Amino acid sequence: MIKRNLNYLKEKYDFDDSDLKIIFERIKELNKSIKKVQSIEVEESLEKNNPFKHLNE
Amino acid sequence: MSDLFLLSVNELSENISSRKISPVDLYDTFTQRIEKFNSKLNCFIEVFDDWKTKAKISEKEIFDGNIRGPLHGIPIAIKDLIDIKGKITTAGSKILINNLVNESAAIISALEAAGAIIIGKTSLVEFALGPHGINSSLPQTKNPWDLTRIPGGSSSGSACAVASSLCPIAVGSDTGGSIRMPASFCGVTGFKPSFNKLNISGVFPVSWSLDTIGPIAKTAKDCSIFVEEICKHQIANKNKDPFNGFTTPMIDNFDNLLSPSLKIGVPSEDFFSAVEEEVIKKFYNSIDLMKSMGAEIIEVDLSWLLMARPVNVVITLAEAFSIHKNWLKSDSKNYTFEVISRLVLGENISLNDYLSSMRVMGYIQKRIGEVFEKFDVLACPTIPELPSLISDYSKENLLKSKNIVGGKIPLFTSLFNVTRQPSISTTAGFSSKGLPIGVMFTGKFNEDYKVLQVGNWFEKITNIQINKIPNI
Repeated sequence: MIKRNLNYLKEKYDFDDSDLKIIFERIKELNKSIKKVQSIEVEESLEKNNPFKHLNE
Repeated sequence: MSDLFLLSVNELSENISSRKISPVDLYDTFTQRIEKFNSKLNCFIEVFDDWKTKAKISEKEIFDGNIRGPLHGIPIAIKDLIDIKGKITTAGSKILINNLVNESAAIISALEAAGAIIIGKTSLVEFALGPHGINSSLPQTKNPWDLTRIPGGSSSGSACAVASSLCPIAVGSDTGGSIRMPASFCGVTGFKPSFNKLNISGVFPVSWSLDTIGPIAKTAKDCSIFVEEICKHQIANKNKDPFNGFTTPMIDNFDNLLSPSLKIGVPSEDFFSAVEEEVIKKFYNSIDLMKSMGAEIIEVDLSWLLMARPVNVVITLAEAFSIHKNWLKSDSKNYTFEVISRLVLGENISLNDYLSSMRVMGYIQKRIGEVFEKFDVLACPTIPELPSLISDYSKENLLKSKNIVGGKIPLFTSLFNVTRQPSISTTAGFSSKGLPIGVMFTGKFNEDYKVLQVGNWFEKITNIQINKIPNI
């Protein structure tokens, strides 16, 4: 997945190999951040946060 | 009066009011210092030609008895992502090199209404996207305490200019710590107000969900003067009583702060696992000092709050990519590598990832509100490490170093952009190599005054910042 992204970025922005090494590390770090966010379970009431609640009242 | 450049805004203002000095004296003092030191430090991108004319107009108004307030006649420098009518805003980028603007940002109009003199534009990280203070498209801003080291960013020029006494106060912006990080590395005070307290229209955006603007000055009291005056004069978000009944002159009265006692929350040890030894030692020394001066210290488990760091990363990169996506297509060659290599990461963030981050941000804001019921302010180090060498950030060295992914500089500051709370960084002391170490105090949302007062109290009991200036 990351490799495919890197090839896409290389073509789109004309990065060289040393650029891609740095970007590769940064994508790995970003993916860690995304995984952390995805791992957080937010407990909230759907009833309370339903923006269309008033339509049912 | 000699050594005017050493005085705080509050002291300068008192001297102006009593006509011991005039705005023209300040023009003479600070232009001499800028001429002498800016070529070494590279903190100003531009110093405006009309400064002396404006100083003369202010002088006349003041001598005629028409004093507008404590910022009247005070020179102030502006981070170059804030629009000033008739001037170029580059945001530190070659892409905007000809960006002449025809309308001033709300904060500039408010500063002018308060009588401040806008003296020039300060250097920054390209598009304010980076914590180190590196910008390869401009002459590199230096850390005034050690010219081989990074100043921190992205408001690098603003912090460096105040620390070097090239101006008494400057404006910065803060999305993940861009006011507080350079303030900490440069040994001055930086204040990020509660989200949306100060109007950001006319400020080039990094991330609309997280951006704030605020002052970098020599003291917390000067930051308080700034916030109070801006709130009085800004057109949109006008709030003549920004501190809910408090005013800056009351900031030195610590009775209400210490009686019955000031409660300071301190995260438990696991929160600090990434902090360098010298930094944590100085931090705990500060805690001991505050305790000895009457504060009650309350240990809090805040390890869960570190989840706000990845939330800040995802939201910032997704929104920044959205802002830059057209230029990334048409003008990619004009970005510096250090910034484009971050911006393109936004391509990897899905809509779902962004929305999840926004949802978690709401959850964190709710949970932190409950935690802050137990104490008045939270204390922690501003930055977990000391400033590294500028040379560490060349592309060759970046490939070999830990800094490749941005390091841990914004680890703590960025949390409080997500929570949207007011947060101040001031100096806790100096390392064995003479580099400043910052401490950060964060308060409840919209209790900006409490944070400023604690910062002011801490500066009074340590007395570090005022008495020590860099030997440039």
